[in-house]
Amino acid sequence: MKVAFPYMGSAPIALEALLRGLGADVVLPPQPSREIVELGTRLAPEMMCVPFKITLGNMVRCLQAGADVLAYVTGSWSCRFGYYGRLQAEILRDEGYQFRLLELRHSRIPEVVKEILLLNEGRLSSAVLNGLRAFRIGWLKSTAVDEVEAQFRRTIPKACAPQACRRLLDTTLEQVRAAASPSSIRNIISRARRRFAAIPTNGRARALRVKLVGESYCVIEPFINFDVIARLGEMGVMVDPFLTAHRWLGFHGFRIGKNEVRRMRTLSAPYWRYCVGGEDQNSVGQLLLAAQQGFDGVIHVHPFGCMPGTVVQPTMAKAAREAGIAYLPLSIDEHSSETGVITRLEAFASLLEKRRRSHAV
Amino acid sequence: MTKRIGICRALHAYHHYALWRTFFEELGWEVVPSEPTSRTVLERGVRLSPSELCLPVKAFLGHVAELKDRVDVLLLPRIVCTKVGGGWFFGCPKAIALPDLTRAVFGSLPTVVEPVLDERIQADEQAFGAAMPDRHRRADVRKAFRRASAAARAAVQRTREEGSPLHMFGRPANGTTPDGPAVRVGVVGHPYLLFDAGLSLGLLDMVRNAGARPVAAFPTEGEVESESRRKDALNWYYELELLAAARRLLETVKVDGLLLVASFACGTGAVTNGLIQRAAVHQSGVPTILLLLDEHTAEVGLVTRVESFVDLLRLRKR
Repeated sequence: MKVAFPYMGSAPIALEALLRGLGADVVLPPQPSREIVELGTRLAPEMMCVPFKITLGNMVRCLQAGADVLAYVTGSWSCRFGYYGRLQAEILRDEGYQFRLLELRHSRIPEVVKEILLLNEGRLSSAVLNGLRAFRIGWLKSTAVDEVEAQFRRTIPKACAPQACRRLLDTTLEQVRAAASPSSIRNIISRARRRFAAIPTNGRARALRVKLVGESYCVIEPFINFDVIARLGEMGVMVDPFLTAHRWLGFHGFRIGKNEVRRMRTLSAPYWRYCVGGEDQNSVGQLLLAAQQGFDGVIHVHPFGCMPGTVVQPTMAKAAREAGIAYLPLSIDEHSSETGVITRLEAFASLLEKRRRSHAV
Repeated sequence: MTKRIGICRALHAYHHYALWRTFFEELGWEVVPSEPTSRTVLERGVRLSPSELCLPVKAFLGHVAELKDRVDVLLLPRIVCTKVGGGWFFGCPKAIALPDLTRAVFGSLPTVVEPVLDERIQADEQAFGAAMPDRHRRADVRKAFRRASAAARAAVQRTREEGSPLHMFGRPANGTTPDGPAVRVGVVGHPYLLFDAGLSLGLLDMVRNAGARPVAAFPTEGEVESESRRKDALNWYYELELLAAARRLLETVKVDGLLLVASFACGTGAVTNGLIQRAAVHQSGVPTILLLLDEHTAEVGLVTRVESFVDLLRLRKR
């Protein structure tokens, strides 16, 4: 069994470890690229959102690389994300690919368990043991990635050479991916911590702080958001995403963070009373929280045509106005131009700079 | 003094206007519908909305702008979730968020009646009762809702017979249809888009003028329910209706071609129309055409496409 799954940010590092630990063969999706986007766009319905197109392109490449099982998180709610798996499977079958669709959803847990048992030749004890070990290593890697990325986000706005930060991030993530034991992961992390601390600083006392909110895929996947975290970092702005790959797995995979969900619901209640998906409620809540916590601005990213992402826009603008925080909405699709986005980010950064200076007086 | 409640002639009013009107009239309110969508109304809506929203929602905001200063109370339903055959089926995100969106767009609004139609937490009757700004006796509410439900059932029946929901607004149903064995074109699209001549630019008449007979299907509850029981059914209620309608047109009515109408940036439409086109091609080989409408759509462009589609169907039939 060779498993492939849709790709988002640095999530595959942990998921690969988890699936390999469970005994499956993993086909890693290629990094999203122009070519992948075009492939997906050609096959997908025109009006689908861009994460669908990218993940579809990814899956084609995985199938060509020999994957025979496609694992998707699916569900039943009002956003289109729940249909990704089923729709993509139909499209791919029409293209003549043969594979099995494994739906990861709460109502299908027995099937998933059966699948894991099969991998262990039906032996329950070894399945449980492998399962526990796999979850442990997967979770450790996920936490490690999260920690390294947080270090990176904190360091880059104040670094003399932002490129050195990027290189350090890339090599560390590669080390985490390759690590086989918990102790080696711990070593990698403490080494990375020392090396991030040793990066020479440019003398900036307090970096501008921006909260990144919006639809999960656009927040987490640097390819689609034009690497907004690193780009703004290079301009001296610290970007704090409300969601990372690790937190996404925790939130949606294991329902961690219920308190935070409740807090967001309370915060956003005057503006937004029903969560419809696409992290709309979280976005409104996080915007208000960012204003309370003294962030300089909020960036909201969503795929063009994303239903919750679009409908929440006037509310975001109103909440930002009333909370007195700068707000930049970015709607992204396969036609978005890098230059256009960068120009807007630069303008936003200088606006924040100006606002801070006028507040300081 | 009777209070005036405004109902926008847009979005789900094309489904539920009979229910809403009867309910409020039974409780002694004066119901004021907005004027039919005009270019002015639409343009106002377009100016108020973020550019990415779909056409019917933009039109809805235009209707709110037209209506809000003429009434004491405004109906803003929140259509969340309904139960069909043992499963939960949702409104589209925009229908769920409609009251929040409207409040964010307009600085001032009259008193809002916001029934939260979420059968997971309450029955629709309770939703309407709880949303009323004035106190009404519970028995009165119950009676009004019962009468409204009966009116709604009658309206659905009539919609099915006439092939159009426009009778709810007291307007003539259809233009004249061509005589004789004409090419039959099944039309599938949300009623609030298809039957709002201000948005669809009179698409049904274009089909008639091209010499074909447009056939719109309004599925029965049973058909929607059997659609909901299919494996991997979509979880949007109003999309189930479209799927059931398309199925009837393909399998029972056996139309010559299928004309799908959706608005640009309709999120659910991308999924539904994909499924319908797939079914049409795979199962019966019936030709389909998908027309996407937005505020920039020009009438002439539509006419050309409709005419060539009808020509194609005529050629195939020969």
